[in-house]
Order: sequence, then C-alpha cells, then structure tokens
Amino acid sequence: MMESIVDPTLLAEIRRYGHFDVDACFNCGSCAAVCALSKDSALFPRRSMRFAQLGLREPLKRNLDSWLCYYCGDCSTTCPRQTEPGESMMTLRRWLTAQYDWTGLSRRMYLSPGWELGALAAVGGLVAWLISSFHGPMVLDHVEMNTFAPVWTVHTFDMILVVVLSFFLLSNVARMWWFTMVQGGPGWRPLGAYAAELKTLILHSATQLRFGECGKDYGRWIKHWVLATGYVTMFTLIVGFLWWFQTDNIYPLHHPQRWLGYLATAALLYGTVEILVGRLRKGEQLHKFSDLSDWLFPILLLLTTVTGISLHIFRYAGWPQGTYAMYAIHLVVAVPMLAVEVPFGKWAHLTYRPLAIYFQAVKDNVLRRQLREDAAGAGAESGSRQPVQVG
Amino acid sequence: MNDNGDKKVGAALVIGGGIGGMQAALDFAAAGIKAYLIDSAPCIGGGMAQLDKTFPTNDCAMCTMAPRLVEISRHKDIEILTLADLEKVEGRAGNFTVTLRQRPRYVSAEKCTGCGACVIACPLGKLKPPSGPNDKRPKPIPDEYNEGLSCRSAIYIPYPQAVPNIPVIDAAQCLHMKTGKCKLCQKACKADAIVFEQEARTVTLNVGAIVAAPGYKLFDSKLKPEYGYGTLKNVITSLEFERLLSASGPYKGKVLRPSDQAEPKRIAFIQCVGSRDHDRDYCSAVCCMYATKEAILAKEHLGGELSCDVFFMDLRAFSKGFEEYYLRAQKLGVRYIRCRPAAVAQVPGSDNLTITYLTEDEKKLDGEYDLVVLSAGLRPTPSGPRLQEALGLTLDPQGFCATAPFAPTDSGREGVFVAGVFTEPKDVPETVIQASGAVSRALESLSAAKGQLITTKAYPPELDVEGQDPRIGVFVCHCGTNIASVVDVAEVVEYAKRQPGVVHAENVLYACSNDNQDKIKKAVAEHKLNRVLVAACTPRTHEPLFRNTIREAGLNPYLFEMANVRDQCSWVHMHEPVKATRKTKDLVRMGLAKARLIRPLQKKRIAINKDVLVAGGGLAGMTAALSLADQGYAVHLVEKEAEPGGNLRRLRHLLNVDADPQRHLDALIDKVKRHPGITLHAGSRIAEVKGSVGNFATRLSAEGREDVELRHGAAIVATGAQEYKPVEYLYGSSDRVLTQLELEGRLADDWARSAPDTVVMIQCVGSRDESRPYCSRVCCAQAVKNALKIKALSPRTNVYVLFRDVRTYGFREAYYTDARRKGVIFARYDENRKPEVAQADGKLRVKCFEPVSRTDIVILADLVVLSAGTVPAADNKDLAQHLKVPLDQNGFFLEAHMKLRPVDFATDGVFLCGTAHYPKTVEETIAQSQAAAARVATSLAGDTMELEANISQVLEESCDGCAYCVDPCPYKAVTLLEYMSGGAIKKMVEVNESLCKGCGVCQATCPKKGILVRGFTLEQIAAMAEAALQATETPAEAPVEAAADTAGAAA
Amino acid sequence: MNETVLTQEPHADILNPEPVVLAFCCNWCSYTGADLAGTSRLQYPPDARIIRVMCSGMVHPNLVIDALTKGADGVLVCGCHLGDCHYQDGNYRTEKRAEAIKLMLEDFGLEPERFRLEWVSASEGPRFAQVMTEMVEAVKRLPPSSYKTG
Repeated sequence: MMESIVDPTLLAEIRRYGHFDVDACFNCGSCAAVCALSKDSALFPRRSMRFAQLGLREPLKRNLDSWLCYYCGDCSTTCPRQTEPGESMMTLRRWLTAQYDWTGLSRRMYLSPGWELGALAAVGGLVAWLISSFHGPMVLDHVEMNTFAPVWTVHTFDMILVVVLSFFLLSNVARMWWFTMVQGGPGWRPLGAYAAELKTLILHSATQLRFGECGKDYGRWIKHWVLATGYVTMFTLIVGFLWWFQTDNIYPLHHPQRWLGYLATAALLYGTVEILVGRLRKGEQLHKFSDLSDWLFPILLLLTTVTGISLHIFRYAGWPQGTYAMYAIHLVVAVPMLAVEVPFGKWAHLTYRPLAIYFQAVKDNVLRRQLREDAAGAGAESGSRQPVQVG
Repeated sequence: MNDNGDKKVGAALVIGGGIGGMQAALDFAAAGIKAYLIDSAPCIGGGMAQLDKTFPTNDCAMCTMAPRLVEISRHKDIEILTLADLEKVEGRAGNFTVTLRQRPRYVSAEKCTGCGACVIACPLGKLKPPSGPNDKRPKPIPDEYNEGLSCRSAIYIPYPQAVPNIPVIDAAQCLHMKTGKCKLCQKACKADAIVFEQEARTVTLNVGAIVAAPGYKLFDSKLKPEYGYGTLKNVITSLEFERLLSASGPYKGKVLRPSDQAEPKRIAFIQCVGSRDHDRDYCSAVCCMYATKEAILAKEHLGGELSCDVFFMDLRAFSKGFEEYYLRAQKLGVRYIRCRPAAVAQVPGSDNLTITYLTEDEKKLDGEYDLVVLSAGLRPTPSGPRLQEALGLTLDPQGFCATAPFAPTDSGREGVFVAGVFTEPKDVPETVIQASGAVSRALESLSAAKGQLITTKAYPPELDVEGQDPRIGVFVCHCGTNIASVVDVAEVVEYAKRQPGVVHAENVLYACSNDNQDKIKKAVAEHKLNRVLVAACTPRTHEPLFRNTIREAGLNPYLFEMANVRDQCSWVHMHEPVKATRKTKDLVRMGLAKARLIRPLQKKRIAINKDVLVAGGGLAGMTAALSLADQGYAVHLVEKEAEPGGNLRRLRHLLNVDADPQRHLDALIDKVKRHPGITLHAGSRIAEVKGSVGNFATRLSAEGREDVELRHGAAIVATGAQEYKPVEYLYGSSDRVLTQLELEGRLADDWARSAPDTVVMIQCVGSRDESRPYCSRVCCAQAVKNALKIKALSPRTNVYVLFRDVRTYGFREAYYTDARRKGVIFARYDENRKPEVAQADGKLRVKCFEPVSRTDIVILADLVVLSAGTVPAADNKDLAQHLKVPLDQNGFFLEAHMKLRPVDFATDGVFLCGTAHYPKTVEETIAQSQAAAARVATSLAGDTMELEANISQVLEESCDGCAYCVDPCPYKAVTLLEYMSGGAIKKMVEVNESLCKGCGVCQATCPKKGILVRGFTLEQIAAMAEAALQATETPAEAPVEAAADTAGAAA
Repeated sequence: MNETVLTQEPHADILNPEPVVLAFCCNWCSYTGADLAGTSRLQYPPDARIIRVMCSGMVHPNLVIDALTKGADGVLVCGCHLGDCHYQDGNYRTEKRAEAIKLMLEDFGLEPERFRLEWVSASEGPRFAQVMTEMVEAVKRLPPSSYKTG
C-alpha cells in the first residue's frame, strides 16, 4: 500500500484555482454512488476530494479521475452537505492542467487574471505588429485577400504556430503520462494494452461519447459535439487547407469549401452562444460557478467566429478596406486564443480528456489482464446474495 | 416565598402524554403535586406506543409501558385531558392560569365503558381497499397507529391499550357527521355514550409550574424523493417497519412487504434520512440503534436466510449497551455498509428495488432488495411555534426548544420546564431522565405547595370480617353485548347462586358504570357481604375501580376477586356460546374458590427519615444535592476528596464555547457550601450501609476522624468515573502525547505563543476494544470541542482527528461540521489497523491507513492527543456491595430498567446519576442529577410510606430456615435469621417488607410452604386450579344450553 | 419460528375431545397478551382456563404436578420473554423449574406433552392464541389423563 505524507498546504493551493468546498464533506459516498460515469477503478468524485482533503499531493497528481468527469452536476445536487463536488472536479482539472504544464504559465494564468489577459494581449499585440509590418499591398478597388495577406506567408506562420503549440502541448502531455501512467500506474508496458485501447482514444476523441453517458443527458452531448466538431473542422480548414480556404475565388454554394465553412461557422456560433447564455442564466448545476477561464474560452471563440463572419461578408460585399481590417482583427483575436488557451488554458482539455480516457482504459486493460491471471486459481465465490458489480 | 401575596399553586401542567410527559405526571403526583396531563391526541402514549421493541434490550415496548399507562389512568392525582391544545398561559411562576381548548370526542367519557361495541358497529371499518383505479366506493380510513398500513373505523380507539380507553369519532370521516344518517354506533352503544352534539370547550387550569414534553414529528420521507418513498411501494419508513414487526401490527407480527404481501428476503436500511444534511445539520441520535434493532428483530422474525444491509455514515452506538448491541447485530449477520446511497430505483419489471453504493474498500456495487426501510429522522414538533407563543420559550432555527448547557431542563421562562425530543433528538431513557429533571426543577419552587391539591379520600371505617364464613356477592357483567351475546349471563348467575359461600348473585349491564357501583355498595350492606366477585373484563384495568367501590362500602379492598370472562372468554370464543358459557361458569367457580380464601390485607405504613445521602461531590452529586436541598430536604453530601468538584474541575470549556465550566463549578461549590440544607462530608468514604428505603443507616469513615453514622431515607449514587490512563501510542514515554483532558488544561490564552504546527487526535483509546467494549460517548464531541478551540486560538495549527465513527449525536453534529469548515481534517481508521505513533526527528510520526484514499497516510505531528475513554471508578464494587445494587459487566452502575427507570435502582430508595451510570456530557449529567433528585422526592414525599400489601410473609411454624429462598430473591429482601429460642438455635428467614415486591419466587422455591405471597398464596392458587378441574354441573343443563345458543344467535 | 407443527387432518387422532388445560400466566406479559388476544378478537379453543399469577416464577412445581395428578389434561406456564421479567429475573427461575417439572412428569407416568413453558409478551396477542391452540390440540391427541376421576 502506498504511503504518503500529508501536505497541509495542498487544500489551500487547490482552492486558488476556483471553488473547492470540501469542508462540509464527510465522505458519505453519495456523490460517487450517483455518478453515472464513476466506477471501481475510477471512483470519483469522492476519492479525488479525499486526496485533496487529506493533503495527498502525489496521489492526487497521479489520478485521472477529474478528467473523466463531464460535470452533469448530479453529485452536487445529491450531496447532502451541498459541497458541490462537481465544481470541485472542475477546479481540480485546472489544478492538474497547471501541474502538467512545465512552463508554469498555466499556473500563472489560472491564478492571475492579469497574467491571462496580459498574455492574450501580448500575443494579440504581436500579431497586430506582424500584420502591420509584413502585410502585402492593399488593393483598394476590389478585394484581393491573397495580395494583402499572401496565403503561403500566412500558412507558414500557421505552421510555425502549430509546431510551437504542439511542442508545449505534447511536452505537457508527456508529463501527464509520466505522472499518471508511470508514477501512478502500470508504466509504459504492456504495450499491448496501449495498442489495444487506441480504438478508445480515437472513438472518444471523435465522438466525446462519455459526455452522453454523463448524467444521461444526450442533449448536452450533442451540443458539445456540434461545437467541438465545428471547431475542429474550422481549425483543420484554416490550418491544414488554408490555400484552399483563403482564396479570392468565390465558389458556388454547393462547393464543399462554402458549405463546410458555413456549417462549421454555424456550429461555432450556436455552441458559443449557447454556453454564454447558460453561464449568464446560471440555470444548470454546472453553470453555478464561473471562473475567468470559463468565460474567456467561449468569448474568444465567439469573437473569432463573429470576426470571421464579418470578414466573409465584407469580402462578398466587395469592400476591400473593411475586409483587410477585419482580417487583421480576426487574426488578432484568433491567434492569441489558440496560442494561449490551447496549451495552457481551458482548451487543453481537448487533449487531456480523450487522453485521460485512453490512459484509464489502458489501466483497466492491464488490471483485467492481471485479474485474469489471478483468477486462474481462485474459484469464483458467488451466490444469489452477492451484489452485482457495476460497470 | 409569598412575596406580593403570590400564592404557589400545588398543581402542574404537563404538556404531552408521551413517555416523557407520563414520567413527569407520575413524578409530580408522587411528590405531592397534582398533575394535569394534556395531549392533543385522543389518548396518551406518544411515540413509544407505536414501537414494537426497544433497544438495546429488545424489551417489548408495550409490556414496559402498559403498566405505566394503567397507573396513570387510575391515579387519583393525575387528570388526563386529551384532544386538548394549549391556548394561553397567564400569570407567573408559581401561579399560572392556563387556558386550553379541548376538541370534542363525541363520546361521553363518563358513560363510556370502553367495551368497543361501537367500533365494531361502524360501517366504515368494514370497507375494503379499492380494487382498482375505477373503484368508486368509499376508501377505507388509514389507521394512524399502524402508520396507514391497516384501516380503522370512523369511531375508533387508537390502539388496544390506549388511555383513556374511550373511542373517539373522527368527524371528518363519520357518515353521520357528513350525511346525517347512519348512527349505527349510537344504536350499538348500550351505555348511551355517543354524543354527536358534543362541542369544543375551553378549560382553564390553575397551576404552579409547567413541563412541556410535546415530543417530535417523524421526518417526512417524501421530502427525499430520490429514495422513492410514496412512489415505490416497497420503500417504507422505519416506523412503518416497526409496525410490521409488532404483534399488534397490520399483519399480526408477520413481516410482509406492501406490494405483494410476500416475505422479504433482502432488506436494506438507509440511515440519516432527514438528518445530517445541509438543511438539518443535526443527528437524530436514535436511528442507528433503532435500525439495528429492527434488523435484529427482522432476522428473528424471518430467520437466518434474511439479509439485512444497513447503509450508514457513522454508526452512532454511543450509549449504554449500544456498542455491544451493534456488535451483536453484526454477529447475527446484519451487514453495515458505510455509504450514503444517492437513490433507490425500481428493478424494471418487478417490485424489487436496487441501490447503488460504494463499499468501504472502494467498490461500486448494485444491491437488489425486496424491501427498503428509510431511517427517518426526528423533526421538531409542529406545535412548537404555538408553544413558543403561549409559553414564551425560545425555539432554535430548526424549531427545537433552546436550552442552556447548565440548565438542560429550563425553558428560559421561569416556572416553565422542558423535556424530551422537544429540546434535542434523544431516546426514551434520556427523555425520561429529562422529564424527571424538569419535575425536580419545578419542585424546587413548589415545595411549599406540596400536598395542597392532593386528594385524600375519606372512607367509612373498615368492617371486621376476620373469622366470618364467606358471604360472597357475585356480579356478572353483560358488558353491553360484549359478554351477553356469547355467554348466557343469566344462567351463569343461577349457577353462581348454587355455589358454596355465595349469598347474592346478579347480572348487570355494565359492572363498571357508576350506577352499578352504587348497586354493589347496597348489596354489600343488604346481604352483609364479606367478599365480592365480579365476572367481567380484565382485573388489570378494572380491579382498582372495584376495590375502591367495596372499600367505600366498608369492606377491605383486598376482599375482592375478579373473573375475566370477557377478554379471556366471550371475546376469544365468539362462535362457541355453549362452551363459552361453560367456561364462564368454570372461571366464576375458580374465582369463588380463591375468594373464599382471601383475607383482608393492610398496606403497612412505616415512618420514614426524610434526609438524603448523596455519594459523590462532583457535578452530579452537587446538582442533585442542591435540587433536593432547595426542595427542603436535608442532604448529606459525601465526597472522598478533600474538596468537591470532581472531573468537572478539569474541563476548561464546553462545546457551546461561550459557557465557562469553571465559573459554573465555583458557583456550584459556593452554593453547596452555603446552603443550610447541605452537610458536606469531605474526605469521607462510605464504610457500611444498613436498612432499606425510608430508613437507611450509613457509616462514614474519614482519615484521622471518628466514624460518623448517618440516618437517611434515600441515597443517590453520584460517584462519577475517571479518564482511562492509556498504555498505547507512546503515552507516558513521550511528553508530546497527551490525553484530551490534559490538552484541555493547556488550551489557555498562552497556547497561541507556542502553538504546535500539527496536532493529531486519536479517538477510541481505551474504548470499543476487547477489554472495554463500550463507547465512551463523550470523546468525539470532546475532540471536536478541543479541535475547535485550537483553531480559535491558533488558526494555523493543522489538526487531524483519526476516528472510527464520529459520534457527534444530536446537536453536536453541527460542531463536527463547524470543525471541518475550520479546516480540521477527519480521517477514519479501522479497528483492525490502528494508527501507529513513532518518534521521528523531533516529531511524532503518525501512520494510519485511510480507507477512502486506500493510502497509508503519514502525519508528522508535534502533539498527539489521545481521546482516552471513560472508565468506571475503582471503588464502584465496594459501594455497590454496601448499597446492594448491581454493576453492569463494564463496571458502571446498573439501573433498574434501561428504558423507563434510568435513574432508579431495582432497590427502592437508591438512585443513580452522572458518569457513575455511564459516560455522559455536562448537560446530560445535570439532567440526570435533577432527575435523581425528583425520584428521591417521589419516594420521600410523605412522613410515612405505604408498603405494598401483596408481598411475602413467612409462616413461622412452617419455615425451618433452610434458606433456599434467600438467594433467588431478585430484591435481596429475604435474609436468614438465627436466634436462640427455648435453649436451641432456631433458624428462620425474614422478609424486609420495604424491599419485597411480591413476585413470589420465594414461594415457589420453598419446599415447606413456609413463605407465601399475600393475595397469591400457594393455597389460593391451588384452590383455583382444583376448582378448574371440577366437572361443571349439572344434569339439568342441556336445555338451558340450547337456550343460550339461541340467545347468542339472537344477539 | 416454532418447532411445533400442527398436523392438518382433523379428528383423525383426537382421543380426548374436551380436555381441561390450565394456564398459569404472569400478570405483566402473558396475562396482558391473553387480554390483547381478546381485544383483537382472536379465537382459540375454549378448553383452557387461565390463572393469573404475578410472575411465572411464582408457580411452584407442585402446582403443576398437583394439577396434572388431579386430572388436568395439560398445564401451561406462560411468562415474559427472558430479559423482560418485571421482577428482574423471575422467569429464569421459571425456566430452571420447568426442567425439574419435565423430569417429574416421567416419575408420574405423564406424557411430556402435558406440560409446556412458553414466553408470551404483552403485545403478542396472536402468539398467545396460537400457543393456546397448539397446546389444546396437542393434549387432544393424548388419551384423557389417567388421573382423571369420573
């Protein structure tokens, strides 16, 4: 059994990342009992709450549970002490993001609005300076986007951005793997388990199916899936196929470039507005508390979307000055959003969540293998009286 | 006392006819204060009347309670007012004017004989449950007593043993009330007792004190919809389950589930339903134990195959015998699962239920159950706000009555006292204790008015019938049609007339009615009767009435005999009139056989000494002594130490932080020392006790002084207990390991200057283990208290509490919550994996396996505080021997009855309070000490004391001193005497009449017929047996029997 | 719950259709339970006669033996459940005496079925009725007592 020295500072530290009320908690277990997603190998929220309560820093860092929570809020409405375990899991995700991030930027930005807004402003400023310094000639009698911002220049910039982002993100992912799988789990072997569960990774990355199981609320899952899919589509179009997407040709409506773009835009618009309205109304359990990071994410995305739409309209309306200006604004919003939020901020969940599911699946896979070996000798003791194991 | 001409009134109002109110009324009446007992229900009995058994002894609730109900109903100085609500209280302490509103019963209490014919006649009692949703017939009325699991008529007696045993008409249901028709009950009532025109009336009472014990309301489980109560058929409340278990319940003691009346095989109990949640931050204190009881009883009813799972959070088995009870339940196979289930769901396609839960080793399981029982918590009485307004007391935000820690029975308004769940959720004994305590507080100011309103009845001089041949008068009751419809009463009368010794026999419509009492009195005079036999209902309820009647006629009351021909004959053989008539004759013949042998008995009166000895000068002893001294008793307070104070001296603060125990203690000592009624014998020990209630003689010995002999009429044991001296966790070898009391001594203002960084508290040190299986009750709250104090003095100190169950019962729960909020970390350890404490680099390394995180947590502590248990005082054994009172297996004093006599000993005149009884808190100690004072006041009310008449007597000529009877006597009332008689040693036993209770164990042990119980002698019982075996006459009977049959059929 | 199982075929083995059964019932539990059977109108055979005693511990073994040797077909002693005794432990004495009584039955040539000790609480009206029924049925299957005169 693991031995762990209690760290009385841990709780106070976590609390700086948001709402984390475990004081009234007496570990009755109703939160984990009601949770549709929690099961033996990942019994949350109680276990994570207990780690935090007792000051068990290492076990908490090595634990994947909070990534597996999709915050339906059932635990919070069930909790007899109204300790809001759901929101505590949200706070733990921020704390974990900061733990994974070796640069320390996540921590700084979560803990200080100044840092977060400053970082966004700095990157935005840099983008503005780059555009004002390096843009091409502005053709004013008609719109010529690719003259103002030659697609290959922008694409090169995109690629640099992607590489930088990926570097940060992947190094953080490596740390996540190290904490949760090496320190807290089976390690890198057996590779068979990793390979076998790749399907889980792909499936959940593409579908976020867990979201649907969470609280049995399929509406929430569909909304999230629409938004995530819209975002990924748009990101792919812009970063992967910019030469095709940013063009001075106007395609007919049935052309995939047109309808793909419109669909993704509609998804983004719908998704972000939906989130913001929800947060403003605070109707649902998960919207009861809102951190700055919870606001920035949809606001930036909405701004990006709105500027993108304006850009599109101006271009189709044939208003060159407006188009170029809106293009600049669009980038000034979108780039900081991607550069800051994706590796260090709320958007990191896009990576951590499917990975956590994957890692947990690998852990379970390894456990199953072990059990199968162990069970070889032991006879199954069972009777009608034996309760049925869930999951 | 009589300032401003205020007169103290020698009467008291008791609000609430539950077990607490009953105790208060009985105590008042016994102490010489007339009691008005009011209840808003149609009868008294309260919540306990619905219980099947009581924990932790599994005593039958009704068995222990029924004698008390009967006693109250017959008590000359207790007036019961049912269907009554308090309206208004005017005046001041000592002289209140109370206005009540009494709702109509529609049955005349004066005329009703309680025969129940009306109940059977009511057509609404015969309604069947609807066959389906389209069944438009009227629905049957749910029976409140059985929690709606059975039905009742519109005129009904709430439960069989109800007091008063008079039906009430439910006006909202009664057909006549609604339609003007029916009146079947009125037709059925031969006593003409049904009065549909009765109206509500206002009653004004003049009383000197008020005790409010209005009880509680069970939490409405529908407010927790996740558990499905009200929507899922097989989810029931604990009280409904209690009724299922009861032999007088809906299925006559068969445990069947509601959906299909099948025997459940798997039952789940869910604890804390409506307790310990955000809206109700208190523990209901009784549910853990009642669920344990219900699980044990269910297993007894349904056999070993039944599985019982109890879902709990902390198992609060904190009082006497509870922990042992909990262990017993586990041995019987009751499973305790430490998880609060989030919901109960129905298994699709069946009425079974499923519960998802976590095991303590972090497994998530689904359990399927046939029946789910919700352990509903206790809520404040809905009458609280009305009482608050009328009585001027204060309710806490939850709605319970607020009390102060050093005055647990004071309401805050002078002259008004409180008891029971009204002040905090508690069990039966705590309620009974508090009720007696409240009486004691009332008696303190009413002592001058004692006896003022007590009725003394003037009887004519007793006729001397000694030596006369029996002249027996027989009265055979029709009981309306209850007896006469089955038994041929006239034939029985004729039969009785032919029996030897019978000079008069007649049949009467209602033997118990007022006109018949006059008839009996006239017959006694007319026929010179010297014995009376009434063949009617049961002597348990009616014997006192008839005894009183014949006493009024000048006969000794013990010259009465009763034949139970209704409850034990006509009612149980309703379809066999011939045989029932013959049996009635047999019963009359048996009664007559005894009646010929009965003799006048006198209740002996002895003069009593009214001084009281209180052993122990701690909080308990001093509180009891002061209360008694204020009531006018002379008290000898014996303390073995040089100064009084006891363990309270070591308490620096209380959980309710604003109260300072030392200030209270100093004031208490000061009062005790100044009180003219108290003699303090400090530095003294009890060396010898002789005598019995009313007349004890106790010798005190003191170092360097001559022995003192005290004479007293009663004694209170208040000798306290002590803190366990740990041998574990480095205690004694490290000066950084302390007990809670030692820590408390350090928690002063200078604590903050050298406050440790980290403190670890370890619970259950010296409690709940093999050598001391009991829970020390106070340590959890004590740890919470000290942890909170640490956090107040040095907020940066980290405090960890390692516990097994956090037993902060009642309102202590809120402080447990508060401690968590203040950052105190609570971690559970398992009894099989106790924490380890080791020295490490100038710190103490505490290691403990924490089950939720499945981690061995290590805390580097600067201070380890052990919650050392409470152990009985070392000299308990000696004192127990001196006073001839028992100790329990743990060495604490054992009370007479765990539920209903928690401050009495089986030995009369000796009482018990404080931690000598069991570990308890300051408030509980004070309440019990007050209670002990009240109980003393009830046994020393007059200058003389009446002894029981039906007690043992030694026949000198038959007793040869074999002493077989000495040891079996449960009251140690029989002793062997040896004396010289006629030059030879004569041996003979002697009965101490003030100890004997008349159980007759001695009589059944004696091989020589040398000892007998008056009124139940061997000869009398044998005569009854013999009479039973005689053949019932006679040849001429056959045609008469036929007539009886037709009579039975006609009726 | 009970070891006694009633045989279902009526009359087949009834040798003594109208027996006399004596029941000594303690005042606090069993006698009260007998009353409750009445209040609840539970029916049982009218062949038993109840004698009220204060405690089952008051019943001298001679009372039982005398009754049986004077013609009683059966004797029942009923008391509070163990632990429930109104007089602390009187029923534990009863239990011991019952052992002695059972031994004496043999000496007197009486069938063991003729004597029974049962615990019935004040709330066990149905149980009282059942105990009575069982006892009477059991005694009916025995021939009339050999001690019966006339």
